[in-house]
Amino acid sequence: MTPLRMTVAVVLIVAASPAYCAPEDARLPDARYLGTSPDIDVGGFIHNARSQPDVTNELLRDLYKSIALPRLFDGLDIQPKVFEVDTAGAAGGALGLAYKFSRALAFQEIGRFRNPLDLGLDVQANGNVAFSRNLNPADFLSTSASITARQFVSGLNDIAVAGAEVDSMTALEVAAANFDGAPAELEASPEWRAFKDRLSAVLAKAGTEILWQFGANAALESNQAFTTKQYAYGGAAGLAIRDWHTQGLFHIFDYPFAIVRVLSGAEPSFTPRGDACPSMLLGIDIVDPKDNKNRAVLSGGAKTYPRFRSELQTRARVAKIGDAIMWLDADWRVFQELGASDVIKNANQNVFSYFVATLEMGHGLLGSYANGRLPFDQQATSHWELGWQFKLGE
Amino acid sequence: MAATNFEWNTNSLACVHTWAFLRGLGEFDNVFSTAGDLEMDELAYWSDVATPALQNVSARALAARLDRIFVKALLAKYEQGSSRTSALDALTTVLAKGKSSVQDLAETVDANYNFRGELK
Repeated sequence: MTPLRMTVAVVLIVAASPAYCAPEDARLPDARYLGTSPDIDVGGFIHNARSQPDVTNELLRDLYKSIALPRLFDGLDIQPKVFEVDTAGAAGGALGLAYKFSRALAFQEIGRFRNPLDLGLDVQANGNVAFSRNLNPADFLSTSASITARQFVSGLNDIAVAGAEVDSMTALEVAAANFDGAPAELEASPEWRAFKDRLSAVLAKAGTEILWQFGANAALESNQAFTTKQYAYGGAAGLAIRDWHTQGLFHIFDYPFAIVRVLSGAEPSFTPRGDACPSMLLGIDIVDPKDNKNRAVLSGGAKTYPRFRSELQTRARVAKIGDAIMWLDADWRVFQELGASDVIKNANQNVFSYFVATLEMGHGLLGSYANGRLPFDQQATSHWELGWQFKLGE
Repeated sequence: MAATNFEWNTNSLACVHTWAFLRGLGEFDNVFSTAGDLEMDELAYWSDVATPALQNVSARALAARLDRIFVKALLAKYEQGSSRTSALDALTTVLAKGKSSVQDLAETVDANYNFRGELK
């Protein structure tokens, strides 16, 4: 087993796009690559896409705009991928995609509180699918429904402003919107600075804002072939914090990134922000592994078991190149069986941990590192992804 | 994405407020003229690596923040037929979709909020 995999996340391209006139020497892939043929020249595909990122992204934008999915798919994000895997020295590759789907089915305020409390019914799905399934570096699909109570706690609920203040603030916004210049020039302009001062005063009253939620959920978890499945029922809590104070406890999370921003010249001084505090989900489920054969073999039957799960995610500015912001986006998921038997522990099937971090700028460069394993994976792996990203879905 | 006649321009208070507050909140650095085409997956709150469940928490937090700013700091009223929950739901739907644009968000804001000084 190769511990380190190099993968390349790039693109699906339709060269038949009428808006595109390819240079004669550009060996860009054509519509055949949208199929699942095992004879795809992934190396050439990647080379050509990487050598012309601007053309590639323009093609993908045309492709995206040409696709009109039914309204049923509102909330669907698809990210085409090419996995280039180096296993035991033999390079190979496979096309694939990552998908996310999220829809709110119902939403209702409950009670009368100073910080309003709401109840929502949501459906969600996400996963990673490779057309050659044995090359999928994260073979875990999850589809779930949840009913959740949530509350946004903010000092803004207590503020009172006069109409004249709003009118003068709006005038500053309009003046800033009509400013003709680069972002850095706008930043230094009197109209933006005056607006920013007024906004800072408002946000100081907002203080530390918290969105918390708690609810019940049911999920189907499977591998991409659906040969292994299990069902999970339980409760989960979520938390997102943003601190608008100039300095505070939650700014600590941005300290490393603030240092990088100074070193990269993105900011003139060490200015940690209050928006890098990780968002989190914590939950406890009862897992029914009745279609998980590996589990049944280990535990002598498909017995239900309790499982703790958590997810932490943060995104922070790390640099600026021209007007483009470079972001670091990181996510860490843990699934841990509670009270696991020695057999399960000895088989190393009681804890699954998966970490992924990406470095990205707009729709441009994507660098990604992932390490660990998700439920159903037998062994932990590491893999890198380099390239460009694009999403489909209307 | 939007197939309507809604235009991104400084004559629309929905566009101006959406741009000014998203920029002021640190979601992007663009000037007004280039911000309308930005997509949600280019903004600070977005995550390509989080699960949809956690991504939704971030999207709902930003939707709630914008709603409170519009209603409490800008004294906006909900449009007829709209309410806090329906406006939040509409904003979250746009914010939860990576390919929605800032212009799409402004269109949703326009449909749900009536700002002071807005011509109707």
